[in-house]
Amino acid sequence: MNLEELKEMEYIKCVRLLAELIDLDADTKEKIHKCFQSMGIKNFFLHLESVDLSPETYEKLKSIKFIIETVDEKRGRV
Amino acid sequence: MKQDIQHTEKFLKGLTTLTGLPYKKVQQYVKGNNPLNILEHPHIMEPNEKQLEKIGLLNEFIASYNILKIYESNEKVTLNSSTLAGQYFLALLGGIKDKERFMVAFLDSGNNIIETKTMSEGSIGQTAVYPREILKYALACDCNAMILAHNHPGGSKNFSPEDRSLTQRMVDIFHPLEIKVLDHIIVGGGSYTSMAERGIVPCQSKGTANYEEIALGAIPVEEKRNRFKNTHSR
Repeated sequence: MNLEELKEMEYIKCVRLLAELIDLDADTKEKIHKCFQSMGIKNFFLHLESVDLSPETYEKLKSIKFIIETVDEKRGRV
Repeated sequence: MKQDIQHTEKFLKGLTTLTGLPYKKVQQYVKGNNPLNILEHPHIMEPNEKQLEKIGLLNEFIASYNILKIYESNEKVTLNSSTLAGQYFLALLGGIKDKERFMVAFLDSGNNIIETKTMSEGSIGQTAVYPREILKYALACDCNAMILAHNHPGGSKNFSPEDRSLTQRMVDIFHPLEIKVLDHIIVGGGSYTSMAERGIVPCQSKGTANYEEIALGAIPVEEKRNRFKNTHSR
């Protein structure tokens, strides 16, 4: 399996986890999946405000962004 | 310092929004504790079933996000040094502190990852590894080498006799097939240790291949002694 396939598998997993975590509908799942594929997950969270999402989904994703940033920062320091 | 407090506040707001944990309770907890403990040891917050499930999903998402960050930063993921292998598995296993997980990275002849698989997952102190399963995947992806890794939820980075024995058993199975076992990484306490770095990866078969399941995760002898000393000195 090459890197692209591995990455795609992980994107699918990530979208599924997000859907379970913040109750996404099918359209939003697809939109987020496409964003991951085109800009990457890191850029997706970096430019969250530029993605066309409902205010409710945006707020929940922003919560995830804060958690990721804190985990990155605290674990990076160890 | 002020920035640190703001970060923690945002983290807590995010965490409580997503999981349903009560804000006051987590705020109280982080006054004297590391906020990440809530993710790593969720039971300290006495969550209900739904909250626990959400924390589990969040942990899985963070692990997946960390893998993707690595995938996105490289054209190919090449594990051609113990440092790279250590960092890779630290990203995958560093956040798991409530159970033991055993993983294998299957590599091609250029040490590029073909596939990384979780081969077993157990309780906090033990997991069972099935060599037959590893063999099945190794042959299916036609790998040239592999790197083993697992976490010690207790935080120890020492290799237990069981860890060493498992590595030897893997070499006994894969050396005759010309599949190299390059390293065995232990992740614990926010860091990692590499068997290759310590020069203790076996390179030759010692016995015939044994496919019986391997129990992994006994506490290293040194750690047991230290634990006893600590208890005794109290």
